[in-house]
Amino acid sequence: MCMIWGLFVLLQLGVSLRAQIAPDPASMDIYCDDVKLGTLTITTYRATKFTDKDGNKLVGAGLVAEFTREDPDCIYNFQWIQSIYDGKGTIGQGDGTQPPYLDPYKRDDNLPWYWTTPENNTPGVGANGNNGPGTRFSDFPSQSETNAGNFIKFETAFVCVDGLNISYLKGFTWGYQVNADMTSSLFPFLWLNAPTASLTGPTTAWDGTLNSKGGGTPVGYTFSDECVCECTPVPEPSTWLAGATFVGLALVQAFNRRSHRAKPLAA
Amino acid sequence: MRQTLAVLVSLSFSFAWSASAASPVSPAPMETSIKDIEWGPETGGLRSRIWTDKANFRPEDPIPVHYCIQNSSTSEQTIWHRGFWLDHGIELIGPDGSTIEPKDPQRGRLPPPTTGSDKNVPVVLKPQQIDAAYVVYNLRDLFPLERPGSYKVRYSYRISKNELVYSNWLKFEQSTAPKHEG
Repeated sequence: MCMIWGLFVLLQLGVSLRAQIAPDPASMDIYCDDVKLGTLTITTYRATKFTDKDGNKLVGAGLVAEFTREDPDCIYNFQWIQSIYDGKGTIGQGDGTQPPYLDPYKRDDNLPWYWTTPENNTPGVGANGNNGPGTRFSDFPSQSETNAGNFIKFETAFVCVDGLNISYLKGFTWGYQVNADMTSSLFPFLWLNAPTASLTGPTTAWDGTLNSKGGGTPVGYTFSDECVCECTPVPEPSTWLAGATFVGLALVQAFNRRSHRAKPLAA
Repeated sequence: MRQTLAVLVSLSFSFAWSASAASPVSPAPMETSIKDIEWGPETGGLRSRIWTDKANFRPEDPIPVHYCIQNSSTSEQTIWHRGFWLDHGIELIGPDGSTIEPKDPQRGRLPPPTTGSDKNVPVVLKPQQIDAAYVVYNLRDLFPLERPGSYKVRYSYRISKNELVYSNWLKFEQSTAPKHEG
């Protein structure tokens, strides 16, 4: 009886593990050189199953990562890069492009980042509250539940950028497969301390065009061995007032000087 | 004295605005002048609008088009960022009333519906909340605008196979005046 009960519990555990995986650890401290920039937390990693507005039944995965900065007075130029490094039935493969390639396959802009600039800057999209741009990652890839055997694997990187120089801060791999029973299963979540060639290759080869297949002259992005994360201080409200007052006083002085100049004698 | 005060006040506001616009923690700021821009028709509890920074363009001027979408219903709505061109289309009508085809059909023409996506980001909008996290495209990059005259453009966003959220029709003029020298 105990064995049957134990088996029942294990089976239930297996179902829940398949549906949701808590990365271990869920949070990682982020350093650039020896400076702690903050903490990156995977707040969601789960299998998904839903019906869209057209009645299509979809399965997939969902992952959300949020970064909380250590110094509230610093804003950094964070970006996310995501590479699709393996799969079957991916959008790129449907267009004749084999992995690895950068996500999104169909480019919205000529930059290699996952988020467009407006997305990167928007709280609740690419920004985690007031932690600054690029402090949030979210992706809920999905496809038809009837695509049994299809799968997709992602390598995702949290970086900071200075011009064409990229500092790799942390990364992870994840993904899902579509099962014959019309559910999805997650691939294990794995933290990375360095990017693989599946991510650095497409990034350094980025040609800055809107051509999904790429192949043009690389723009010149490189992964720097040194930390290129520069702190941009968050302006204080008092700074604005001081600036406005300074300009105002300068104007008043200029006006007074003009008023006291000797007027020409009438002819 | 009044003039000096007016200058001081306007400078203070412009400095404060530029500081807030430079702050990366805020969403894309919405200039107060767009409050008069009409919205497109509501569909499925959503409506959208587009605008440019001016109404008249010389042939050498870029034509940046701003776009946003609003939850005009009384309950939360989720829209999906899957890549702009997967769900959006742009219609451009030229001076003779005919439709102008985009330079790249994959960027301009509304594509057929697709199921699922790799980049697939849910953006949950509270009632009346606006999503303005969209690239400002230069219409001149997307369409050949070779003739002077009056144009009109609108965006569309597919929320389901049979539901499109159309923006307002935005009218603008393209002149033939050469760029002013000196």
